[in-house]
Amino acid sequence: MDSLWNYKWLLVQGSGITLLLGICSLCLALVIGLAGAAAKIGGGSALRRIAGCYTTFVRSVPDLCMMLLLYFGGQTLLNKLGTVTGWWDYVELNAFFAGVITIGFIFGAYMTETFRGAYVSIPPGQLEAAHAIGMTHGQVFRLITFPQLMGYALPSIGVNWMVLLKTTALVSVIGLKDLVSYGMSAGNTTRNPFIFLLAIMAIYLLFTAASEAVLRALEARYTRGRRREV
Amino acid sequence: MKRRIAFLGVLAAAAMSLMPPIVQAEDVLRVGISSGYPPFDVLNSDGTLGGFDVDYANLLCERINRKCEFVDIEWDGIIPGLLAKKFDVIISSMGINEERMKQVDFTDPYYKGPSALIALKDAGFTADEAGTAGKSIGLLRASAHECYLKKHMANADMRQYTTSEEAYLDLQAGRIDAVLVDTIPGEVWLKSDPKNADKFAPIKADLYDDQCFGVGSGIALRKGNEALKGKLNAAIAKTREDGSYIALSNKYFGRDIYGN
Repeated sequence: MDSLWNYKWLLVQGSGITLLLGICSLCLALVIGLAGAAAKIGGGSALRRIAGCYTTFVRSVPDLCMMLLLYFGGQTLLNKLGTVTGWWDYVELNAFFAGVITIGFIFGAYMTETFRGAYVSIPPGQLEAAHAIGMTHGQVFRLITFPQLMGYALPSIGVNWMVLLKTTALVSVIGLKDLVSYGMSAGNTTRNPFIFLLAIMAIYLLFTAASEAVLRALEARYTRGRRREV
Repeated sequence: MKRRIAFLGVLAAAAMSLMPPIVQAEDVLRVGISSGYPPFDVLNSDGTLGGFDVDYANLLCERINRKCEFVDIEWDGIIPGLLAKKFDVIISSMGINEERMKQVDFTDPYYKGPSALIALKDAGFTADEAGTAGKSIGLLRASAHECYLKKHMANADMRQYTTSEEAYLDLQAGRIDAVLVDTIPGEVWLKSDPKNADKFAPIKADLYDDQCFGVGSGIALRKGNEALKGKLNAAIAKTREDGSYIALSNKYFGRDIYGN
């Protein structure tokens, strides 16, 4: 227990990185997801095909593989490009930034499906009615589609968020010290890996419990207008 | 809604501020290490890195008039990280072998430790091909030990781990029969807990094979970095001459680990 106490600030710091990385990735995934769903629903055949390829491709490649490919492969490609064109010698691809991009890119695919599914759940009659009383496309989206979309999508977003938060642990392989990475290094250094693993577990449990509370509040807010069907 | 968008904006700004373009100064030597390999690569509780590799890297940096800057990265990512120029050298107890020399260059070795097969005291098998047939042996994935096992203990059941600590855990749990590890950290592990020393012992502690373990542990650099390689080799020789190497080695191991 002493060793755990000695390393408490590192674990706090690692938790901060994990949370920040998770939240930034979530934001990116939500943006990609909305765009992807829009392309799949309202896009032309080319856009729809691109979005389809993206979700199929990303959801079938292991996360770790994607992380290594984008971070190390991307960096090597960037260096090569610089050498060939002579424009730069070396540009640092920041590990945090790369982590956000990769995790956001991966979970954007899941979010695309989440939003697409939620959109399909909105009764089309409502949209027709909204257009019929003269609402613009923007108004329909803001007042009719989006609030209900969130209501339908939130449970699935919640699941994605929890998986995403755990996926952040992969960043240790690209040199970013997150909670798991600090915990494992400290555990191996002090030869008390189990205590540190238990601490990591407890912290993740805390994050998950807090996320659930937030999600419940959000869900209550976005489903105010809906009659409980269960 | 506006407030929520503003919140996202703040987060995005926070993320951007974390990625300042890193200016490369000529007088900094970025050193890749993988912590969690005591007593060579250690993560201190204040977040700094320590251990023999780190202290020795600092000795070398002093002698080439550069400042060591350490990047802590998981073992699996350490060679890709070097190749992608995340750091300039790897000083992390990396054994020099042919496999790795296809990808990276090495300096002269800075220490040479044999390997050991550690098992239960009464395990009753020998550390050769016949003795280890059918035995499950844990080792570090992508390590020189993998090469050794395939060559000399071909009929053993190889179990690969991401860190040697995990291999020790499975040895303690009785899930594997033995671990194949570097002798020096292996001895440190045995001494770290009386329970280990009571139960386990090396079957053989002086396994050598230059083809697998190479000539010892060296500093890895990207290929074609001859100028830096020359400077580091000269610095290693200097630490041998001025006694700073032996002082450091004695501090950690109570003996000179430079090897023959």
